[in-house]
Amino acid sequence: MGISIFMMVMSIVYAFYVGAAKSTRGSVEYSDAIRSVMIASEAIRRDVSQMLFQRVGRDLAIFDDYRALSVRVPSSTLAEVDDGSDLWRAEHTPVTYTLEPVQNSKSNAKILIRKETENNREDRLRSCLLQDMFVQYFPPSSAAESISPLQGYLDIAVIGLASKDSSVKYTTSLLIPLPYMSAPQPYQVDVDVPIKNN
Amino acid sequence: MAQPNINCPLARPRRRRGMNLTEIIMAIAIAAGPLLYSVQMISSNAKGARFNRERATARLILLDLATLLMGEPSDELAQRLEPGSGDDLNSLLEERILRLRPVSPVAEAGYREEAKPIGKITGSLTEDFDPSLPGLARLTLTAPLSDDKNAVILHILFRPKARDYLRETQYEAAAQGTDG
Repeated sequence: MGISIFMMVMSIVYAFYVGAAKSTRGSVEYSDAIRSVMIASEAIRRDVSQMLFQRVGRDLAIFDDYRALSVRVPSSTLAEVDDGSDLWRAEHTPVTYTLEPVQNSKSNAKILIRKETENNREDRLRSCLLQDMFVQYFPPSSAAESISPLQGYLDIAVIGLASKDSSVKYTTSLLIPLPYMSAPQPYQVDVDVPIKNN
Repeated sequence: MAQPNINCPLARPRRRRGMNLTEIIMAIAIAAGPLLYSVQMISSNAKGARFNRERATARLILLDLATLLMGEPSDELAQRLEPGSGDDLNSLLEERILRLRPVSPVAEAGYREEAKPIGKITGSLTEDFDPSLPGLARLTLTAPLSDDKNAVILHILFRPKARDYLRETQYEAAAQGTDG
């Protein structure tokens, strides 16, 4: 009888141990999935926040069935600015975000790739595993499909994974406002009608 | 020296025959301490993980809603957040989630699932928030978590008139197709 009680107590302790290990692993995996989502969304937000947005057809491209995005951002070096001082005449070069499938993944994992056309540089965000990503553009309009009559938006939905074979995923979506860029009035006055010295 | 009387029944070693009830109760009582402690540890671990996840989700959702609300003209925003206006920010979030459906029903379902534990989201707008800085307004959004004890609060300071002016001029520029 002593052995049977000992076995019973040990099996209960083992069941709790398994439960604790599973719970800990689950929470760690959720944290990893959230981290993947945050890295991806903040990388895209950083580029979109400094993009030049004047014409939809020229400055913004969404392709690959809503899974890829291309925006035009200012060149990274000031040397490429037209005369070294005029930021409004800076070169704007495309930056493209695409997804690349991970080999032998049970969860259909993908890596986010950021490609700069300017210097043909390709960054693979390896610490950031995604299952999918979707990009939508909402133009400023009073139509029901649009969000705001005065503000255009980019909507990025991201499904993050903890690891390439993990079933734990985290989904979020973020709106990024897209203000139309236009040269401010005082600037135009300075350039077009220079003030003459008396 | 006298030899001990080994025939005495009190001096003879007794053979155990199983465990009696007192011993069983003592064994369970001793084991109960670590068991209860492990139960408490598992429970607090799961609770902490759930709290962290909900807090991260609430922050992302509030940021998302704030971006959405900041796109509205100031008078409409003030009307929406007026106390007793009956406008529900959770329905605004639901509308926002529904916009994901045309491109990905999977993302829509996933985002809705993540947002489920978040309680009733409330918002308020304080105009002239700081008397020393006229025209500065404060938007406050609050999302309670599922434990009913904690909430995530987001404050945004902005100048409504300047924001409206800038956006209207941008919109006009866009409507005219100017490149700036």
